[in-house]
Amino acid sequence: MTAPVVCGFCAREFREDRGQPVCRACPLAGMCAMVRCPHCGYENPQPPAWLTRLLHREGSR
Amino acid sequence: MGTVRVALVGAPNVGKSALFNRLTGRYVTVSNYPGTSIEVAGGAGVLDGAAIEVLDTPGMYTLLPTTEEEAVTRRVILEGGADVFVHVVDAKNLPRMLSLTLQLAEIGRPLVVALNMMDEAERLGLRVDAGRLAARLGLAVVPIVAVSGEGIDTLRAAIAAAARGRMPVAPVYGNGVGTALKSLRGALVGVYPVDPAVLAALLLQGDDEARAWVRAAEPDGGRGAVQAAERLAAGFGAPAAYRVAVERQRAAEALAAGVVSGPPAHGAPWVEWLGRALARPATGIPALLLVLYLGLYLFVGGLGGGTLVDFLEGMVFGRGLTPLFERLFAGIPSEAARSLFVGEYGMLTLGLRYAVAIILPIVGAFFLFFSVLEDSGYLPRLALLVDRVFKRLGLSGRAVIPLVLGFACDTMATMVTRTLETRRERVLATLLLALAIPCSAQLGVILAIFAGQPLAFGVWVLALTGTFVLVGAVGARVLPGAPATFYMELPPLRRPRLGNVLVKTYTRIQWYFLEVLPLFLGASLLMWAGQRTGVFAALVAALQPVVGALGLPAETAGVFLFGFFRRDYGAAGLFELTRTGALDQVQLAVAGVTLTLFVPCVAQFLMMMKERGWRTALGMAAFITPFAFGAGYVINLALRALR
Repeated sequence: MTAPVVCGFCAREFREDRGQPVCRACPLAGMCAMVRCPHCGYENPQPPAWLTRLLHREGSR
Repeated sequence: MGTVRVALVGAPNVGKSALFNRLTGRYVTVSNYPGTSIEVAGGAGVLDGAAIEVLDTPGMYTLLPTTEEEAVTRRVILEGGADVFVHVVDAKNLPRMLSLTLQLAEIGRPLVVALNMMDEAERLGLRVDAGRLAARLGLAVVPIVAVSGEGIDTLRAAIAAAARGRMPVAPVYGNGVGTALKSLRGALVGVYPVDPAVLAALLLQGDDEARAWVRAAEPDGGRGAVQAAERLAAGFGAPAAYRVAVERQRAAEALAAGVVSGPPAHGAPWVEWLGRALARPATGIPALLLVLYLGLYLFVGGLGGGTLVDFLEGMVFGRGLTPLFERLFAGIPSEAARSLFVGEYGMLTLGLRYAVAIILPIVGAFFLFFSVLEDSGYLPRLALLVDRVFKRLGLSGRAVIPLVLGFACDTMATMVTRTLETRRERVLATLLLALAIPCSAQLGVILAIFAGQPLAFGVWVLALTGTFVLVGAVGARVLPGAPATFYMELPPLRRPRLGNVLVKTYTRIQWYFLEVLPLFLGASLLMWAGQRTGVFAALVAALQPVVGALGLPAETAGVFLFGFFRRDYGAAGLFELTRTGALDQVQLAVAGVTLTLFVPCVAQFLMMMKERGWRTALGMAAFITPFAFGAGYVINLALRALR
């Protein structure tokens, strides 16, 4: 299960894998790291995996 | 009586799983809800000496689902998957949670409210009058701390009492919503696992799944009820989902009044005041102007576009990298091959320099500013603030999402317009994004160009704002369709966290830079090829009479040509032209306005075709191009006449 994301617009929570990665439908932004909030449609930046792991490690200390 | 089934329901992160562990023993099963990948945990427990089944449902905010998790929980509820419901709420955020309590009270099944995280609420100095809330709702409200087990015995007793048949008081809604719901409830005569009142509410709000349930259960195939719902909804004069949500929130606020006391849950009283003030026109508009001036003009334009660009372009490239590249490629005998990498259109001395020395510092400053706004909770207040103006333009406050995202990337924002409620709103937002919303890089570069040029900047702001309002207002009258509505709960205003802001900024910069660098290098390659073959010169020559009519020097023709490939590339070209002193204030204003209004970049145009269809996209381009040059022409004439 992926970590929950708190939307930067509506502050509601959703699982990253339930968001809709915008890059799949975009003609040029293949490197896009945005994930769409299913509640309000806002595109939230998702940090790269290494940074997420680092933040989780720091958070659990 | 068989085994009592208890379902724990509530928003994500309110402690449902901790409570589930308290109520169940060791035998817990986790399985996917049929037909989905959503996990639902079930476990056995004991209540008053009798066995019970406990379900831990996925988090939900409302019975009108927007996620698969919410849809699964709703099915558990509406298909009669439990005998007793426990609404688990975060005591620190009680007013925001009561709207769902009211919806659960409509189900007509025994309901208990578990006020979880009471320890955290008390640490914040909050006092919750559970007795008063219980009396208002007509059901048991039990303060608990699920992680420590405090209050769990009382909750067990309340669940046992509820299981013996104590029903919550049906909520009462004002302004015609309650009457409509009662009337529709009366039209439902079929057999349902839950009180048809909850289906009446969903039907009135236009929910498709509720319509299917009603069609299956009603003797007339649901025709009468569906027609009645449509008739009642049409009588509201605004979308019924909006009206029901507003009345339900009013009822929730009335329930919460006097129940919670102590300091505000999200900081000092002035934070609460500021949160409200930012969304009100009298205080919110001056605050918005101040935010834009400090954040965009001074920080992005001054620091990003001035200090940082000066350093990177003058020091890093001017004295370091550009001479180094020229030395490295000096050994290539062919002038054509050498000029591919270094020189006027070289991939390293033009493409890389534009991307790293001009765009990166400006976009980086913009993303930092944007991340601070985002993390502070300001954006939803901005949405409420502009909702009134947007309604006159055929848009709702919800359109703030794509329009704000457009300041980051118009291509992505064009795709986000699909989340808007009506086709008219989607078309208008797409047009306004293509016409009057500059992307982050373009905006940053334009602000950097206008730093210290107040006349040109003022003209640019007026022209963009005027275009946005004029085109929006005319579009709202010309395009058919119902006006849009907007409703959202305001999340608390909060102090931005440095870690969050830096991570968001880094992620956005990385995304942007990885996208932009190959495109800039590719654009340099195209221009190099265009220059070698003479195509580029021919295109520039064709554009020169047009820019001449705008009172601009011939060199700006190339800038407009670049701008079609990439808005920011064109803006970077204009930035460079400005630095050489080739443009006076009037020319600067004309070039800035025309380039910003000019047709979107290739990527955005492709997205417009994908989202709105090729006819609409071509129609928009056919409108935007003459409009942009026409606006530039008029501004040039007006400013020259005033001089």
